[in-house]
Amino acid sequence: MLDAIFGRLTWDSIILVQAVEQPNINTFITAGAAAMMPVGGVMIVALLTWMKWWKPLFEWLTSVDHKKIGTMYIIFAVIMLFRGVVEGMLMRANQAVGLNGGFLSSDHFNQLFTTHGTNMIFFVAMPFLFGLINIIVPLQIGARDVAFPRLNQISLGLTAAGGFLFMISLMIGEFSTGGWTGYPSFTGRLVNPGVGPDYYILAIAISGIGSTLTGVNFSVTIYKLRTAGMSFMRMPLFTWTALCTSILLIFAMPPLTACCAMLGLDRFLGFHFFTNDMGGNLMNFINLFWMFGHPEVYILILPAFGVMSEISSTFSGKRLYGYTSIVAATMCIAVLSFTVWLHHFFTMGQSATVNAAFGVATMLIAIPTGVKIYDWLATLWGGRIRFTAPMIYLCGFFVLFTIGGLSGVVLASPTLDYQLHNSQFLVAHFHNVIIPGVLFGILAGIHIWFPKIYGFRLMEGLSRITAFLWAIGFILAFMPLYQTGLMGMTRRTVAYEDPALVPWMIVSGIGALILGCAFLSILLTIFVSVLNRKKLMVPIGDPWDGRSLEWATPAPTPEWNFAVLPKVDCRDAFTDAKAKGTAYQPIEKYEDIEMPANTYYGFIIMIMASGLGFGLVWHMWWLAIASLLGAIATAITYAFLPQKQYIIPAAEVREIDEAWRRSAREGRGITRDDEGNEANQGLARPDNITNP
Amino acid sequence: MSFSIRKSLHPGLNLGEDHGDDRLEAETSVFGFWVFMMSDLVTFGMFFAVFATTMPLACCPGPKELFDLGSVAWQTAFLLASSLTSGMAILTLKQEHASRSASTKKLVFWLLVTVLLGCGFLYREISDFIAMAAAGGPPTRSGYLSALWSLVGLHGLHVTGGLIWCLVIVAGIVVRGVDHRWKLTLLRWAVFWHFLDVVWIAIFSFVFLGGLL
Amino acid sequence: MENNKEFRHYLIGFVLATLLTVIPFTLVATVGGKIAFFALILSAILQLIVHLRYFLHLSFKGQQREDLQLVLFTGLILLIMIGGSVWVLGDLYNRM
Repeated sequence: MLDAIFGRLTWDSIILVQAVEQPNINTFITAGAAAMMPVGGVMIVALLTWMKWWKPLFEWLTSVDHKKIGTMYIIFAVIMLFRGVVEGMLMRANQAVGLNGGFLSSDHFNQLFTTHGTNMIFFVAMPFLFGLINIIVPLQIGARDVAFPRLNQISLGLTAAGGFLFMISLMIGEFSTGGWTGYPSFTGRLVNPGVGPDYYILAIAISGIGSTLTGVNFSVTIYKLRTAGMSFMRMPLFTWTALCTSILLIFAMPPLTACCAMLGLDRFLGFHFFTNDMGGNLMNFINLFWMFGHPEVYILILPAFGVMSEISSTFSGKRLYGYTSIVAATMCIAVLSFTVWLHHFFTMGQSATVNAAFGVATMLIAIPTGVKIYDWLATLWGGRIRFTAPMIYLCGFFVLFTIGGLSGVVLASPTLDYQLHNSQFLVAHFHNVIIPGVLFGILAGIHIWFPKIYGFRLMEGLSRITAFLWAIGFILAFMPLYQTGLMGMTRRTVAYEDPALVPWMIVSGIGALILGCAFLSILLTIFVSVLNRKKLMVPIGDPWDGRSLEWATPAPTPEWNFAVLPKVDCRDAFTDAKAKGTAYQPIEKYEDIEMPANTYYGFIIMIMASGLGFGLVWHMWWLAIASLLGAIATAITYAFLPQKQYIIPAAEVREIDEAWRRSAREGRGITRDDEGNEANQGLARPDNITNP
Repeated sequence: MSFSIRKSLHPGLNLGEDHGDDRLEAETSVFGFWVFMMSDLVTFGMFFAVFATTMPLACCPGPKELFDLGSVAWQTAFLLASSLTSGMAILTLKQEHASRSASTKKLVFWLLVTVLLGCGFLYREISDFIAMAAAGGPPTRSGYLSALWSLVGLHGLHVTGGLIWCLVIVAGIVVRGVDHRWKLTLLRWAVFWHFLDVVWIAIFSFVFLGGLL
Repeated sequence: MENNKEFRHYLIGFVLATLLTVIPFTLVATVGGKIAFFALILSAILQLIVHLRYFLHLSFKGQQREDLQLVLFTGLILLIMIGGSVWVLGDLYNRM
């Protein structure tokens, strides 16, 4: 009877019990980390109760506003980033003392590299990017919201459900030890019948479905909701990269869902997709996984490239150089990314012909990226450059990402890859493209667009320190790994035997410490900025003399985005309007605005998906079935419930909008010299630059 | 951006001008669903790819022992006919339901016929699966069988979902009439149903007929 | 009348699809071999086009650009993914 209710869940599954029964450093570390969850939960409940924030919380959780959903994605990502950084630091600490065995058990270390990778890709990078795209793209195309706001909420719920499964594995049970790539037959039922791989499959499959739906949502938004006059070739670059990212999501997530489903069928029902006998073939998993996995990394980097485009033009006060070539390059990258997946498994036994074909395709993909870098450099040339935090990130990107890209071209040669595959060289390469690429793009994007959503800038000094900490921490932590890779050190090993590796590992460990400080610096920056927000307010909404439509709204942006949907007739429409003097002019006619009402749909789906996942992992079949039926019932119910809207009266819109426009027309505005100080109210005055 | 002058706002059968705003709002809704269908096609494609690269084993029952061509022919007939009847339903929607006052009898009739045909398809398919298992060909027997059962089974699951969806729509139409939301839902459902037949073409061709060659 | 035309559209599609189903079934059941194989592939591709044209109302004219872009791009992706998988796994199989 108890078996039927609890499946294979027992008291021993809980880490706190394990820490008592088998006290050692591994259980202590894990228990300590797991304990942060209930403690944190209690603190949050206390805070919400004390500040009477429950009602606002539920307004947020039931909101379908793209700005709120985007913010929730980012908050989720920051929390997961904390865990991810700690995981990385633990591994680096272990390696620093890892000669002939570190302080972690191999099982613990294996779980760490698995959770670190899974977490960073699915629950940090992707949510961060979805958050930025969610907030900014509708504003950049002059729309009121995304095409399917409720679906947006559901996607967030599914991502959160995946995150829930991922986090609960820390407390109850354990996670997979098969790496973020989870190859069978190691993750098959025979070798690993425990809950680890099940948590892994369900966490990424469930959030993967959310990501697919996000791709559908964003692509339809960009295709169908662009404002009057905004043809494709007049869209800002961040929107272009968001479009290409969505296309990648639509076509690349299904292979992941498929191979997770197949592995799940193997594990739960005894199928033979990937077993070693009876006709199974693990290469099918590897093939499918990387058919997802390669476009996935372009899903991560393309929005970051979009942010780099925005930075290079905005913070040099110049039009983006070579707009058409950057668009073409972005599209090339998107299409080519589907043709190179085999380079992740050159060593798995294919013939030289196959390897060479994919190797060549991989090298080809470097070309459009190079085009973009030259275009960004050309954009900066002759511009009025401000060395703000985003510019630091951009410059760091130029140098560091290029090195990472070059090491990628090295790995693209099958011959060289045979030596370097699964060595620390590979670890260095992908961190080298992810941190200076994706992370710098994310952090820069947050810095640029934070004032748009919250109405005040982040403190410039602290932001610059954060940027430098990330750059230095990254260099110290990961550049040594190129060397150790060339010296033959394998990845994903808890210990090593070559004493010559020790100094490099120590430097890398110091780098990891600095990266930890860099993360704390982000939190500190936000915290101090909130404290000082009155001095940092930029209510008129254009703190950086921006070029695209998102800057043509007050800060914080009202929920309807634009009182009247703008008409554009060129690229960099806002810059054009400011130059012609038509920005901020009064509007004659205001109309009532209809906005979709809040709904519990996404929240309920999140709960159902979490229940489904948890029930399947622990073989609590009643929970799984009830959750699945609950999700279906929810969908059917919402099909019958009327889809509520609420109306914002024209008078209210007029009041807020006219006040904003008046303050903009009557304000003095600042030149770029005063961008970083209190005079910046979010209104820009023309600067003396040669090339607008 | 005014699209009302263009003939076709989205792929698939477009509502006529007499449907007013419903026609315009269908653009985003139905296009978005087509995009989702494309991702679903890729999922099927992946199951196909795995199927295509998994060979039947000598030890275990294969196509020749397990496939009942007659039954597959029946399933194909059922599904193709249901595609036609679903088309009839959408035609009825377009031609007769521009105003809310029209009788829903014809529309519901065609939808229920489609459901019936779909149930016929499922009944035959499930019988076949049971027979295969009894003949020593359950999915746990070999990689080929796992791929076969999951590919055909995934399609069958989609058909089941489509039938439940259709019944929900019928209930909705009976309760609320053919209003804006149910119109758009019907358009999307019809796209879904046609795509299931498209995928079935690939399945009966390459799985069943191909396996028997 | 517009209505009749649309109805005939579906009917034509149904008849063509039935034909393109009966032919491969019969050939596989009776003749077999290479003839049936090629007929099978041809019939499948043709029936796919029949479905897209007559049931799903896709055509080269009268369609928004993005609608065609979507379907053609998906076709390309499927070709790369399925074709690539068959190539890679086939290559591995040959080297086993």
